[in-house]
Amino acid sequence: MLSKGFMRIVYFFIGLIVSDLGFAAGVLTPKGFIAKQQHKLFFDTVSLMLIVVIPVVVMSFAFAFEFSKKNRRWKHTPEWSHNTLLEAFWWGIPTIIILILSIITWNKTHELDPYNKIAVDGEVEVIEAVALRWKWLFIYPKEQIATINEIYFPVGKQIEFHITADAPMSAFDIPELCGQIYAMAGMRTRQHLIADNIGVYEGLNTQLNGDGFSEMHFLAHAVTEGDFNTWVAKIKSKPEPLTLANYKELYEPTIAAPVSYYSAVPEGMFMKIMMQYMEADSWLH
Amino acid sequence: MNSKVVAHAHNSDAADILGFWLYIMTDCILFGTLFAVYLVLHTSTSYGPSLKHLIDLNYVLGETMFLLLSNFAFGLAIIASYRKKGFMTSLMLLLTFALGLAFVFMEVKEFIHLVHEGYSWDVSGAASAFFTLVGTHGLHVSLGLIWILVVTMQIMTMGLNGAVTRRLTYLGLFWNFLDIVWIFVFSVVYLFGAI
Amino acid sequence: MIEQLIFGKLSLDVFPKDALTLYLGGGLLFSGFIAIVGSLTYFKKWRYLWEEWVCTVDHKKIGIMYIVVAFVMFFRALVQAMIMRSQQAIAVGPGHTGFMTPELYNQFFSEHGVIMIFFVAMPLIFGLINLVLPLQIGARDVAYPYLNSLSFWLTAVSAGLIMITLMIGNFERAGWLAYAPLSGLKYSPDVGVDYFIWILQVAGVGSLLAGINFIVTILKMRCPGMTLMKMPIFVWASFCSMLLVALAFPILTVTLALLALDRTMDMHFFTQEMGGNIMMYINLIWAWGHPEVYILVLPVFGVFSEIVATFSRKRLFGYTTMVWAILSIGFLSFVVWLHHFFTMGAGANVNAFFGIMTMIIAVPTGVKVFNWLFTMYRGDINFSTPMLWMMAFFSTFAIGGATGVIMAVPPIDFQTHNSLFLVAHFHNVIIGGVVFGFFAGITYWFPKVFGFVLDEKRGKYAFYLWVVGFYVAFMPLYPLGLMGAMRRNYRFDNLDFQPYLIVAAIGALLIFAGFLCQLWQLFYSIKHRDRLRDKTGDPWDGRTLEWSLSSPAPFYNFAHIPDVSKIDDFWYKKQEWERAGGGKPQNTAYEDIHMPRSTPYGFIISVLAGLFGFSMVWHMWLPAIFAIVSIIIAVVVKSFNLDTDYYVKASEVEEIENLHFAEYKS
Repeated sequence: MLSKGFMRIVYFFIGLIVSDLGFAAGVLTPKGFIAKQQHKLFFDTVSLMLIVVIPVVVMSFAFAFEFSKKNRRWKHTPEWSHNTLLEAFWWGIPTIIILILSIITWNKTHELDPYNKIAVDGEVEVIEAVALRWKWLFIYPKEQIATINEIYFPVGKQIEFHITADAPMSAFDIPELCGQIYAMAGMRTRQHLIADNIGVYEGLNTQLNGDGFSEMHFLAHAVTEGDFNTWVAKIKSKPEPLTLANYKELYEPTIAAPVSYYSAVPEGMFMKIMMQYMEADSWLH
Repeated sequence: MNSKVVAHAHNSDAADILGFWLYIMTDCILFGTLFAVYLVLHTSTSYGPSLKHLIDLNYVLGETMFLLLSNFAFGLAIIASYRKKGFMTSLMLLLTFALGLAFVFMEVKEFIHLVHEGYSWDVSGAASAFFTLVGTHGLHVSLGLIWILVVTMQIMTMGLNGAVTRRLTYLGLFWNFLDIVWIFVFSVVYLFGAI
Repeated sequence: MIEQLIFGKLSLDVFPKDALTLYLGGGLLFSGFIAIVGSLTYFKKWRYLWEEWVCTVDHKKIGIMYIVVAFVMFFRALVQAMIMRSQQAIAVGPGHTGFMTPELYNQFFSEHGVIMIFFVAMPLIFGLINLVLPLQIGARDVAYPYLNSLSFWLTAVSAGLIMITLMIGNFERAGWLAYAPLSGLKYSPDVGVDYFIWILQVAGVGSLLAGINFIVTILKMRCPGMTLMKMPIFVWASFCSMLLVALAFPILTVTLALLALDRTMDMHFFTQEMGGNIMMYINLIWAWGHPEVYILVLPVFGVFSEIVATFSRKRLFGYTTMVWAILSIGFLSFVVWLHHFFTMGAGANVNAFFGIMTMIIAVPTGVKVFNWLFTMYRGDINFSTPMLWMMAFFSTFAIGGATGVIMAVPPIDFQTHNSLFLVAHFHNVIIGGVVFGFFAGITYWFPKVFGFVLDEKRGKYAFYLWVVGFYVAFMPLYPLGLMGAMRRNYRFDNLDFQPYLIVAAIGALLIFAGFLCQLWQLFYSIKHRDRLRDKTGDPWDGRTLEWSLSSPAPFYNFAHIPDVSKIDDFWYKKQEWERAGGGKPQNTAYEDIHMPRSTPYGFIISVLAGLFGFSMVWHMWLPAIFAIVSIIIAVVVKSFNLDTDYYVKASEVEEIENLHFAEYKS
């Protein structure tokens, strides 16, 4: 296992040179509308930052070299400690950069607000996600099916996630498609995304919520409309529906729960899970 | 006691009083945070009973009067200390103590009454915030009562020397501060709560 | 019944079950304890320890003790970091779980964070401020010497409490800020979170008292002539940091108290049900937590400002700008806390506002960096170890600052939040900023406290190991974070992560080697202290008042309270003396010096506070009541004792000063 690891180090350094190995996941290889913009925004911001970082690093080494005690080329000016023009310059430049970045931030924060519908035509598919210990329960309200740790959705279609938790605070994330949003008991958060490519994307919980945290993953399959319908039909034919009784079992903590399917879901299940924390005597477990 | 007691050059009065003001400021932030928590949670009663029908404003007004009167008595103690009348100062301090004790007694009685009515601290977030905010003030007053006794004892044994007079001043600041906090508790918790 | 009241939940079952922790951890703790007690008894140092250290109110000795505590805790948290890095490097790929369970791993990172912030960084700050600040403002002590001793012992006792969590019970597993509701009774029923709460309450009170103490010291005890705008910049930075302590720590106290009430009294502040509000916990903890970051970093800005001016033999560039930059950073630190949880879904307006406020902090911070750079411009730079740390700081801090601004853009934060990118960022600013700064400061001021300089050669070994180790350990985490590797995972499935994680583990080893090198440097320097002796009291050609004293500084600091007329007054006085053709003149008109007496009350009250905390953790109600009553009694008894001062005789002062001047002239 370790020797394999060492080979990987070698690959890593080669990878740094040819720069196509290793960086093969997450927001670095975005596959969805939101993640692509986040990817671009990231590198735009990095370049803006480099305008300050590079001069600072270069100056620190250049000054160190030029004004070292050993180097006598420059006259020592022990009293020189103020220059209005210079100071205006380095108050000014960062201010301008931050101003530019602020405008970008304001616009992009509104544009990429996970609660906003993405401005494209077409139907919206709603998927309800519930963070449990330590697995994800997904409910398709229109199709009336539910799954554990797996979702399918049509590629190119806008997906709206409604997210809550019946567990400590967790966070919903599919790095290649969208960013994170917290899942909190008694509350509903939202996330929108569109997958641009067919593929299987890793989804995960990113907020520490107990001992099974590291294993709380799910797979998100972006597929064609036809494949999606086949998948739905497959689940509809499964024997077991989700009921208030077997939800109690789901609520019990398990680590690395296997993918499983429920052919039917009680009406308003997501609301029921959420309202447990808002109303007296509405506990499902 | 050592006869060569000297005024500590480090603990000049000005430095000491600044330090005490800073302490009061931190206590202000402490109460400020508790008020903020109370304002966030005071409507979170979806589960349990609401405080509204359990508030007896007259009773709380009585409590308030005791605290205000104790502050007045403390003022008299300060005046007596300016006139270097140790006995009178102690007497007024004891009066302050008695009035403060009455306040704490009434508060505890109110808490017991609320719990009997089913409004305990564990029924809702609002109840937790109420008991904690009012209780923290009560705890401060109780500590103040111990402090009053200690200073009274020091006046009786040491007389009104520099150190003791200084402590009396701080105690005064503290006692006044608790009064001001109570005014806020009274308006925010009880008056608005009853509306 | 009575047994329940005395022992609470404590029983023989609380000792660790797994043999590794029990024998290794327990063995180390126990043998360390035996070694200390044994050697103290053997060398008959108990009385010396009690009188000279435990009861001392001398700010320099308290400062030394703070730094010793910091380094002991540093050792522990570094070892934990290495273990965690090894675990992550090994436990990659399906089915690989490494050698740690998630329970243990979660405890490790929670403890690592708590120790590094509360018992390494905070004691280093208070230690350094204690050592230097009174000397820099020309004072003989701090405003409240007894309170100072109390603050230190509260910190030390709570550090001791966190040490025993390893053996008695367990520590919490909810991260260093113990987010509710995970830290609530429902999801964390064991004592770990209670330890967290009471350890931080005890330490927090210590910090708050120290903060008040130093604010008063700075405002009221400066020597004649030192107006606010003539104070050394380290004093300014410390002042602002201590203001933040006084403003922010009460919030922490309340937050932890409310969490404790939730857990012991069944209240509902931060529960999910019954009207509790978990978002309020996260808001409150960061309302303290964000200023805390600046509490750590501001004094370091001060340290670097002193160092860059001294080693460039040049006035600090833009003194006034520096002061305003520090003040604005201090102010802004209170209006950015929400950037720690953009992902809570507060809405675009709120997120954008806090994102922009966060970026604005970069402006004054950037200005400070340019001021430091231009202090070097046309200087006469001497690259001793403190200046080397500064050089490393420029790059690490620029990178760390930039990644901070990047994450302040909410849409980017949706990707980088909770990821290893974030972990890399804050280690970048905390190691590359705070820790490097303290190392620079400790090397710089070491001779003033101990009378000899630290060995340069070994210091440079340590420096290179630390800097290289830092880059090797943390740079891989940036791409890892972007690839979707999240923090606090005890293992990963994705094999692509492994090479990066192995590199990071090697970096952690290099850092540890650097730490060991620093210990080597210390012991080497102690051994060769005669050769490294600082006879002049001014080994770096310093600019501020502390360098006008002998090294080590006498316990009364200044035989004559100095009188200053400008910034860096001592530097200009030195030039005058040089023009007059002589060295530092000796003023022989000595007077009695008024000093505070040593007192054991700080220690006694702190031990009782520790007992109180421990009792609250285990629900031992009788010992808790005993401790609280004893504390009140101790305070009252102390208040009856007005004999807190004495005079140092002029003859004694003269003797000490003559020794220094004899050595100075040789």
